[in-house]
Amino acid sequence: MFMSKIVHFHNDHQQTAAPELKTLFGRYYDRLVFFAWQIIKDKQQAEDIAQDAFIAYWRQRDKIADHPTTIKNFLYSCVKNASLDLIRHLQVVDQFQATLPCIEQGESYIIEAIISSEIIADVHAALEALPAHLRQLSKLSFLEGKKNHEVAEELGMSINTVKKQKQRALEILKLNLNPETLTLLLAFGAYFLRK
Amino acid sequence: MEQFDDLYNLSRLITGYLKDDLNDQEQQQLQNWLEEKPENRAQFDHLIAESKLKSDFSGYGQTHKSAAWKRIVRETGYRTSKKVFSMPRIAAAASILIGLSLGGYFFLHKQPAQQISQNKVQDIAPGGNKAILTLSNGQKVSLTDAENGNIAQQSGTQIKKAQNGQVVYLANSLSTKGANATEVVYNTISTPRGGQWQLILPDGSRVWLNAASSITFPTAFTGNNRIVKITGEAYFEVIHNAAKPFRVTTKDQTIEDIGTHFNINAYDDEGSIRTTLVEGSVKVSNATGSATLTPGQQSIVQNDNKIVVTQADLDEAIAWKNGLFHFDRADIQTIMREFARWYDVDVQYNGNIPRMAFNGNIDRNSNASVALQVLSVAGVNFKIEGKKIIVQP
Repeated sequence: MFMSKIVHFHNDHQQTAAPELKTLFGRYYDRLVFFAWQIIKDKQQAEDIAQDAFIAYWRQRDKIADHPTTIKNFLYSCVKNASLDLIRHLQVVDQFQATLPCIEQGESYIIEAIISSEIIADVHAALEALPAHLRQLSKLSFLEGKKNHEVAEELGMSINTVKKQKQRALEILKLNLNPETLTLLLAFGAYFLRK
Repeated sequence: MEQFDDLYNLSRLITGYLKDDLNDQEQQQLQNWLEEKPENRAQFDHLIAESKLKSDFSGYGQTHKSAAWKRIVRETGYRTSKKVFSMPRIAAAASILIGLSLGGYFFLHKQPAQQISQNKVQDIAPGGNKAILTLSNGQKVSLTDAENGNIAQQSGTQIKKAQNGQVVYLANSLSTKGANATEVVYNTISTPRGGQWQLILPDGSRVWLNAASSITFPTAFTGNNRIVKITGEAYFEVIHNAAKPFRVTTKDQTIEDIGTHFNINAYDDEGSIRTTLVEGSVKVSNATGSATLTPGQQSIVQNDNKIVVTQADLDEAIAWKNGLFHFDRADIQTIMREFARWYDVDVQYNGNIPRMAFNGNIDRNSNASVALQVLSVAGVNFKIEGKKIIVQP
């Protein structure tokens, strides 16, 4: 189509090509921290490294394709490189750090760390999406493996209510988790379906 | 490892395995990797071991998020913009009573401040969250205006509007699980011009409806596949289920999802059906053939019914869902068709309109006068008369 001229205009104040930084942060921060932590085993430094990744992304976003997988890979790469750099540095200053699992196992450990982060993030998100009153109960029951009477005591409700609400939470989780992940989740609260 | 692009690919395969979200090709890739050497199998088993997952959980998510976010904002100078819509991940607890639910969420649009001056400038407010639910018996219910609570009754099922605009289906008694359970009932949600709506289908899949669009769906997906029908434009985030493929039909084509986020623009007056894939994989079919899209691709079907696959402008395809008009070398007619749907206006062209192409973004929350002013820098003049926009040189 022939066009005599092209007019450029913008009245929005955002860089619209890039996704919202806040959205990316909400989606990936915890899992990147968890990924870094698996490598360096230091919570505060893991958080710093994850934050650096978002800052690096924002500064370079013009060069990064606006595609969810590309952005995610970029963030993971940043965290991986920064974590490994940190460890190499530590190795130099302190020979004992050489006992970290990622030094012993190398690349395969990194792969495991990424997959672990992804799985945990998925289940965590499903739990977070539960209505507030079911969320607390589900965390205690499924993740911390507490027994019904312990949960009842902690939340100040009857054992019968705990049982009913667990059933309800399970039904909702079923809608939001893939079957395999759900099976794993339920395995944590092994006695969940028992009385 | 050599057959994988990088370790993220393997990660995706194993996560996909855990989530039961692999297509045949991916399953084969994973199988090949597992059989390549015993170490791989051992690593795989270790990864999905219960004890490891359990200990991982205890360490997950205990971060200092607000302090972290503050630092990122400080170092990037990032300004948080108004969120255009929220994406709550889940439907209400009530839906589980009979295991089917349909949630319609309002887009959380900030309504523009009402014009205080009445007669100074004629203006037109942008569209908003408006939709109508049509039951199988033809009864129509305005979702926009409905109060929370019961809104309709349908073959042994009560239909309620819950807080935040959600629509929930409740069985009146357990008896409906018996004889009537096999009866499939279709409902339609449609948006008028100047309306948009977000909903959650009974399987949890999410749908955004643009203005002047509709979706028809069963209140429960009982068969071997999940089929919905749309007109106009819709964005889908489908919950994958290999055993129950998800299909979207439009007037002349069918889209089969293979786990995925995609947009379909099938407005009659656009003269083509454009399907844009953001994530995952879809297969587009019509009478002349079929094509499988990879992320970032768009299929275009025009009058000749041939499916043409091109590289998509993702920003353009899903801008509407993100609260924007986004134009890339768009002509004035294309822009005005979109305005007509969103501002619920008719467009009249007077005289010889110069041919030109527009690039850029306009906030969909702008009043029509603001949007038109942005365009008028090109030397086109616009006049608003009631519900009509007049375009002249």
